[in-house]
Amino acid sequence: MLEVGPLDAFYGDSYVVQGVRLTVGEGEGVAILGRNGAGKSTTMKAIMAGGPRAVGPVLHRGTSIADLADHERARRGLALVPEDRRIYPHLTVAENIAMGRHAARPGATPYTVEEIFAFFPVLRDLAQRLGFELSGGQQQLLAVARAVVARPDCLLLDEPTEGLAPVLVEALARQIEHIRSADGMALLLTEQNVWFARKSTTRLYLLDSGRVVFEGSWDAFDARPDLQSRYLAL
Amino acid sequence: MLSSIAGPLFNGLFAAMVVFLFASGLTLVFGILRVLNFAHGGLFMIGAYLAFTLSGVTGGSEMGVLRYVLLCALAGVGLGILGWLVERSIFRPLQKVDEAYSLIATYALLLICEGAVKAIWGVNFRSVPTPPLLADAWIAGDVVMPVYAVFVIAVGVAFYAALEWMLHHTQTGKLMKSVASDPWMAGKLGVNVPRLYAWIVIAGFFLAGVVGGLLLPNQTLSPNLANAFVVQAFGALIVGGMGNVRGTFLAAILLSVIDSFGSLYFPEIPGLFFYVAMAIMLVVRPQGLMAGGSL
Repeated sequence: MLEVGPLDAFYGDSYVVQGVRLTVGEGEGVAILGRNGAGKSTTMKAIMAGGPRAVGPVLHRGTSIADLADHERARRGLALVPEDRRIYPHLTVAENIAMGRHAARPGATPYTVEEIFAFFPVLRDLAQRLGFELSGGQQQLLAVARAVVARPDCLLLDEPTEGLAPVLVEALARQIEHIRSADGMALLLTEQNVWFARKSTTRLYLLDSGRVVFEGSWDAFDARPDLQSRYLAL
Repeated sequence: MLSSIAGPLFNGLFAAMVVFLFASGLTLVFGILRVLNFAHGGLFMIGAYLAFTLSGVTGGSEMGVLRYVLLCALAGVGLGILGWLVERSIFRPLQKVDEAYSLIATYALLLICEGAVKAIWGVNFRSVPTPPLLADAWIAGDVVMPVYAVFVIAVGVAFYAALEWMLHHTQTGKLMKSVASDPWMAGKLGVNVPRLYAWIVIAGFFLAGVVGGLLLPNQTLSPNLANAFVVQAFGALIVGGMGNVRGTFLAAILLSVIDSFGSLYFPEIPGLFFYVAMAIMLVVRPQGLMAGGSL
């Protein structure tokens, strides 16, 4: 459903992503692991036209989206949750979720805010709370809720567990699982939290210095203990 | 005693609303696009000239209030169309490059506006009389209140109230604030940010045109009109908090009223107190009156 690469991405003169190739199948969960600075977020942003200068093919359902603007990519069904969440502080939780409805695909009916609350019950109690009044965990949940309201076919989650308490990480994993299975939504996830990545995806790419150094299933990854110590510094 | 306060207060409010009306389009464009449109004065001037020409076409000097309002609207629409062209040809390409380029480009646009006015309308001074219904004056004690000034104050306050309501209580306003505060995220959420920017530029130009028409009876038309309120408007914009509508409104009132009282006691240096007040406020509150949030 999503075919990327070989993709190069640059910030100014820095050659951050170097010939990365990756695919995400229909409804599939795929993780991108790697250390800080390995190029994970830059890859995600390049897929969403979100900052870096990107060169190389990006295909969504067989159609090139490399020349489309960010909002056009969103309206095709790609939804990015950036690592800094970027909740609108002046909008309420309900209004933040409603903002995501702009990405509704032509002809498709997005979720209502009330339907989203059924998936994320914690947010219902916070519906009228303003964005800046939320805790980090609540903001992360809201960022995911806002991304899925338009019923994307591929969710791009950039380090969603960063800074979250373990109990929140588990709850987040469950809720993402729930809405993905309801809609058959694919997931492309960057993570440093291997537990979360393993729970939410079936295979992974390992990035180091902007290049893919390993790709395969979690079993194949586990069979190579050297990868963890060499590329993840766990 | 009362009249010694009420008189300058009234004059200050009138000046404040002129500055606010002039600055409203400027504030909107800066608040959302972060482009300081140096050409705004030029657009205001073209709006005034456009209204002047249309007033000649549609019936000469005896202009009814309804016709006057219609002229303002037409000047606004004319400038709105110009805004669409300018957005396409200048603002949109400049979104991708450094802010300094847009400053230079809007300054160039100002020079083009001044050149165009000279080429089309000439360099002679022109004026339009106030519509008869607004030409009268009300007298309360010692205070003389020209009806036209009361009208401008009322329009300024109504304009402000409408903008505030739109920004804080409508879906469109909330979307505008969201795009102003984080355009990157808005794009990722499917909002067509370039199109919204285009509409804001058109709205900013429209406001410049409307206000050009509105202030026409109070102005002498000349190619220097572009600079008439620019400094005061930029002052209100900066003191207000750079692109905050409420801040610009309050700053325009504060600066103009202080200036009005200052001119009363030091008539030999008119306008000085506007800058003195501005300097003091920037020292006391350099972030502006309403900093911390856009629009």
